[in-house]
Amino acid sequence: MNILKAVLAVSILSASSLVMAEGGGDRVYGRMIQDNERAMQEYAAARGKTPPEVTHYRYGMKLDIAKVVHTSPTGSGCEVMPAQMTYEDSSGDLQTIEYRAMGTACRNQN
Amino acid sequence: MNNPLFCLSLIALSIGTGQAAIAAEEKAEGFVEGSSLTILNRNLYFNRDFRKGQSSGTGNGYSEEWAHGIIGQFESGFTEGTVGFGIDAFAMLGLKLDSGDGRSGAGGSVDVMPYNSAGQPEDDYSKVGGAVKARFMDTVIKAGDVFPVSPVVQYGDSRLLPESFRGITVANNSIDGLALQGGRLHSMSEPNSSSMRDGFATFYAGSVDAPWIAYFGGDYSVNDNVGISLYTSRLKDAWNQYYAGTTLSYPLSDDVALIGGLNYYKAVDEGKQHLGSFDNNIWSGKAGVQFGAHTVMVGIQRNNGDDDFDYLRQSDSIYLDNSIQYSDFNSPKEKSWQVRYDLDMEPFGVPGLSFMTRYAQGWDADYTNANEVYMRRGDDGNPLTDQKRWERDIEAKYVVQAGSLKDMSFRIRQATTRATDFESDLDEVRLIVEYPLEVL
Repeated sequence: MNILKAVLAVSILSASSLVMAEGGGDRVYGRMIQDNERAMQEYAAARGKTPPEVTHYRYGMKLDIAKVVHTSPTGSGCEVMPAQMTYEDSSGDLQTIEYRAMGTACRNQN
Repeated sequence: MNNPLFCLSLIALSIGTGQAAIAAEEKAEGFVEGSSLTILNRNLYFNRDFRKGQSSGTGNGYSEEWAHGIIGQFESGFTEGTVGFGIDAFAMLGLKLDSGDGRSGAGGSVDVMPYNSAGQPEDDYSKVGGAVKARFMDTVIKAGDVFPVSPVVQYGDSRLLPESFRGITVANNSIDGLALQGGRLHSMSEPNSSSMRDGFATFYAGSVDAPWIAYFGGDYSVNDNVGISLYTSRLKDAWNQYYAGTTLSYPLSDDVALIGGLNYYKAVDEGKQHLGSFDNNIWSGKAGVQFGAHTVMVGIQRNNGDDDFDYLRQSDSIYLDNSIQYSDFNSPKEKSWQVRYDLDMEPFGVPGLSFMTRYAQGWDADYTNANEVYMRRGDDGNPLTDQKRWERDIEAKYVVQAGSLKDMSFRIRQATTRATDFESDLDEVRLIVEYPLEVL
């Protein structure tokens, strides 16, 4: 019964705190993403293109990827973190999509 | 401590007080403003299927455990002033979902849940602990339960709840690009232990009567492409370890980069030589190329020592390239190579999905000159020589991108390994589902 209570208590806790989950998150990764955006603005400027607008990925979105320009590094941790991919669409315009990725810096974990 | 409800009330209490405090105070970078509270829900399924009739200790050649972990961690900011003070605290709970005699417990090999004196897995267990911390200029000192990250002491987190150590750590970031750290730890808590004050144990020798482990070292970024690390540690009366490593990355174009690295450890017996006398070294190197969504890497590794390269139990204090899901390719005199392929599905329009596979092979492992602690003998009583093994790993990861389950991650890890007498033949599957929640 203890387990049942525990699971119940946690579900309630989790649900109630969901509202706040979006709040102060990603403090650590904020700078990384800003650096990446700046680099991509410079990339666009150097090629005389319009700087890419950052779009957050949603399910059902059709991505018109003609050529991948750059993906932001995910090697700074092993947990879920924000990542950005900049690409050229079929009309040659630069686009940046922001999404969630698992960090690739996991140790061997055996 | 072994009471889930107590554990939960602690989490609840932290949430409650945190919210109240935030409302009361609106200062930048203070004790409260700098606080974070995270709750990670982790669901873990783990099995090992021993082949060739080899026993897992459960008697039937099979180990299996399924459990749920709730990891609540609170980190305060620092009080204002020349010297800032703060606290870190955690409350963690592990719940058995499916497990039992014949598959887990004392004879099992996957060590997810702790087990009772009869060798049966417990229904639940918890970890509760914390540390006090102080910050002066660019130096942070912590005393209490800590989670060190370094090549010589690295807490492990490959089971249900993370490993921790108790002691004092110091970290300094005064010089741009240079991160220095050190510590002196006098006990450890393995992932499936509720006690924060267990004695030290190593992977290959088990319990070792060492009073403390101390370590010191640093990571230096020479530039964007080159990083260097130097560390040393002493497990009192067991070993002195010295580590040197470098990471390299060199972009050839926007979308193509070369990656590489070297790792070197030297381990020498110390004091009362509880792990016998030894003077070993082991090194590894890797080189690879990343082009768009693809990364291909080749690694080589060689143990020049007469003994296994050993490290703290369930820790990840082995930054060698061929240390992979099951095998470390760290047996005496063992040589090995590895090839690894990573695929990121984002460029193909599926953000959050990635795959990895690798194959590694080791040969020439030779226990002829191993000391009495690490010696392994064959049925004929002679030291094992000319030992070989291989391992293949396959991994898939996915992160939910939107909705109320945003950031929930799924990770499946499969490993198959075959070996001559010195190691096991087994197939392994791990399923890890995690849901991180940032409360503060």
